Amino acid sequence: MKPTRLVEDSEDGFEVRLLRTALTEEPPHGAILRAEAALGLGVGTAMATAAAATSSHAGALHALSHAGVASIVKWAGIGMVSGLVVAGGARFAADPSLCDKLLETPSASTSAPIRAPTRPALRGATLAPPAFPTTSMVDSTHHEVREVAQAEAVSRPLPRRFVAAAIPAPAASAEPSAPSIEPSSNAVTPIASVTEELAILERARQAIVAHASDVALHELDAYAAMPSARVLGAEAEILAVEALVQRGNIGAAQARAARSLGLAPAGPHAARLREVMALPER
Amino acid sequence: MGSRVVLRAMWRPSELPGSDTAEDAALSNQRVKTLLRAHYKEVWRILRHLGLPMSVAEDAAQQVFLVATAKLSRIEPGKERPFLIGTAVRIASNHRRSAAVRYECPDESPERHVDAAPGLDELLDQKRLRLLLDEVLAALPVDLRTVFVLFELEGLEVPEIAEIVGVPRGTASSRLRRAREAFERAARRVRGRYFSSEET
Repeated sequence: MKPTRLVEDSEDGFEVRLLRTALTEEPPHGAILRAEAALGLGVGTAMATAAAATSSHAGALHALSHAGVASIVKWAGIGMVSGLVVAGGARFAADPSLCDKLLETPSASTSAPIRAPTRPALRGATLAPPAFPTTSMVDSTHHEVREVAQAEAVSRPLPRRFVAAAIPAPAASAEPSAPSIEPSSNAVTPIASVTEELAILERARQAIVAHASDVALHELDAYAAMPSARVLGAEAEILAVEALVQRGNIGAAQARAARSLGLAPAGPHAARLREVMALPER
Repeated sequence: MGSRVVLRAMWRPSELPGSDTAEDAALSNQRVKTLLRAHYKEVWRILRHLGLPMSVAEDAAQQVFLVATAKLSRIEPGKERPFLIGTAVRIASNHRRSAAVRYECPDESPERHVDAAPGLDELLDQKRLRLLLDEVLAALPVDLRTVFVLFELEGLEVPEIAEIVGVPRGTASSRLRRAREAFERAARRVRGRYFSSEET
C-alpha cells in the first residue's frame, strides 16, 4: 500500500505542525542571485571577470588572495616547516618559485579573454582522466595552475561573503569596469578550484595526522570525483598510500604505490613510495 | 511543463560534435539558470533538513549546482531533479563527515536548543517550531533521516528515494517506517517543552 505523508494528515497534531513549518522555510534573501553569480551566470561574475582581467599586478594579487592563494601559501609553508612529505605542499617546497609564478598576472590577460573555452584541462565535464604527475609536472602544469587560479577568480563558487560583495545593486551592475573583457554570456564551465583541491587534501592530511585513515580515504575519494583539472594528483596519491598504510592495508598501499611509481618513477614522491614498497606484508 | 520543453531543447549530449561553441555555452548557461530557478529552494531545504546549518547550507547549495554544471551534458532531460537531490544528499553527507573531522559543532546558533520562553507572535512561533524540527530530525539516524526528509518534506515517492539513496525499494520502505517511528518518538520528547512554553 502506498504510504501517505504525515503533512497531508488532516489532523493538526504537533508532528504535522512541525513538518508543515519545514515547508515554509526559505533560503536567505538573494541566495539564488548569489548562486547565479557564483556559477558564472549573473552580474557578479561579469564584475569579477572584469576585476580580475583589468586589475594591475597588485590588484590581481588582491583578487587572487580572495580566491584563496593565501591559503595556498599558508599550506605550502606548513608543509615545508613540518617536513611532512605527505603534505600537498611538497610540490611547492620542491619549487618555491611556483608560488611566485602562481601570483604572476600574465600581461596578456589584460587584452584578451582569459582562456579559450575549449581548453580541455579546464572543462570539468569533459576531462579525460588526469595523467599522474611526474617530476616535471611542476613546470608542465604551471601554466594550468596559473590559468586555474585565474579562472577561479572568475568562475569558482565564491564563498558567500565574496559573492554577496560581488553582486551590486542593479544600477551599479550596468557599468562593468572592464570594457575590454567580454561579459560572461559565453562563460566557461565553472570548475573546482585549486583552493578547493587544497582544502580537500588538507582535510585528508589532517585526518591522517589524527589517525582517521577512513576519513582521509573518503576525502580522497571525493577529491578523485572532483570535476576539475586536479592539478594536485600526485599529492592525493601519496596521501592515499599513506592512509592505506596507516589503515594496515599494506598490500593495497603497495599496489597503489607501484602503480604510481610505474607512471612516475622519478616523481616528487618516488622515494616515499619506494619506502612503502619495501614495507613487509602484515 | 514549459521548463521541461526548454530543458529538452537545451540538452546536448557530451559527444555531440561542436559542443564547445559559444552557442552551446550560452545554452548550457541558460539550462543551469533554469535549473537554479526551478530547484534551488528545494535543494537548499533538503540540505537544511539533512542537518546543514544555515551558515553552510547556501554554500553547499552552490556546490550542488556546480556539480550539476560540470556534468550538465550527462544529465538527461527530466532527470534533473533526481540528479540534484542525489547530489544534495551526498554533499550533505560529506559536510557532516568533514564537520566531524574538524570536531566542530555543525550549528553555531546559540538557539540550537530552543528557549522555552513563550513566543511573542506567530513568526516567533514558527521559528521555534523550526528549531524544534531541527532538533527532532537531528535525533534520527542519518540513513533514516534522509529517507524521511525526501518522502515527508520533499514529496518524493519511495521508488525515487530508493534510486537516489542507492538501496532496494524494500529497504527504502523499511527505513521510512522506522524513520517515522523515530520521528514520533523524538517529537513526543520535544512536544512537552513546546506546549509548556506556550502555556507560560
